[in-house]
Amino acid sequence: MTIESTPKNALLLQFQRIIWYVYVGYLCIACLLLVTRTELGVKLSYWGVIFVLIATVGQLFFMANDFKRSGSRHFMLLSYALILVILVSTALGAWII
Amino acid sequence: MCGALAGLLGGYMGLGGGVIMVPYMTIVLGMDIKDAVPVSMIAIVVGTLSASSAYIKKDMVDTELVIIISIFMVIGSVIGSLLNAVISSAALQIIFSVVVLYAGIMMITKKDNNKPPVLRGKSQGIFILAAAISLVTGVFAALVGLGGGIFIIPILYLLFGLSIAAARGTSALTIGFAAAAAAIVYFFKGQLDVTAAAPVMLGVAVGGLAGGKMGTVARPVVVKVIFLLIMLYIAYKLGMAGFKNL
Repeated sequence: MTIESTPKNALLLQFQRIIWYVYVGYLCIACLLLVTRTELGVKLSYWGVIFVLIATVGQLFFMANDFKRSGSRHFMLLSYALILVILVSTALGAWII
Repeated sequence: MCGALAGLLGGYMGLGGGVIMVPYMTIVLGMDIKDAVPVSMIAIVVGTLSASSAYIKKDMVDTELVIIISIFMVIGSVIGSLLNAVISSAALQIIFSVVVLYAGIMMITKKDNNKPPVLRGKSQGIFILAAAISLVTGVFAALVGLGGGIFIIPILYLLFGLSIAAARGTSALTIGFAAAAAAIVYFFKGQLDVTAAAPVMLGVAVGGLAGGKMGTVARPVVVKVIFLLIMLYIAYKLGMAGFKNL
């Protein structure tokens, strides 16, 4: 089993760093607006949740690219399979339950 | 505050932090458990996103295992949530409290492996075993209402021989995907209170980053003791809930 970071997970790491600053800044603004009880705060919180979920799935695209760069074609395909599994299973879960 | 504390502990231990968030939101803030669980799930996603970067930077994440475990955990979680309606969870809770207790004792007694896993080489068998165990873990985690980190870390440490640091790092990234799947379902069902989620997410984001950084330099003995205490607490809560539901 390999434990590798740089350069294998370089794209993922860079993505996580950027996304952290973006959503912390975004959530700070949303929380400030929520404290002042403005409608915009609720809207920003709503889109903040969507943003975080998209970012989580986005991580998998970057992981797939990292696998591609390191020559792990199987794991690149498995990363895309995981995206598909998350989307299909949650859609089924939301539909069935 | 609740989010920051949960993020700090979750990031440090490689767990989601739901162990802190759900009791805090229900007992201290007076939230209904049905409202607290979805908020906890989305916060776990943010926490793992924040904490895992510190582990990745320090080469403490096995991304190949993350992918395999996540695929089967997500499928298992969905199966578990579907089975939840037809299976009585009482017996499962008691069985799992015993399993968690056993794993906790095994973890404290097992000597930490300092060799990087790359030395042991790859085998297809270990991936198949990882897949099967992740599926079962996903089912049981969903059935008993836990994130899964408390099960994933002992599996990675005891069965796959990862060091306690690598097990926590791998778990930190893995549970985020399973929690995201659950959070998406809650979000689309309208069960996620976004106004309560935003401040918790902010706290977890900051706490998770700090916890992750602290976790990368943590002494294995300290981590094992804290982990044992958490596992004893989970075993007690699961066991008591199981006996009540009998």
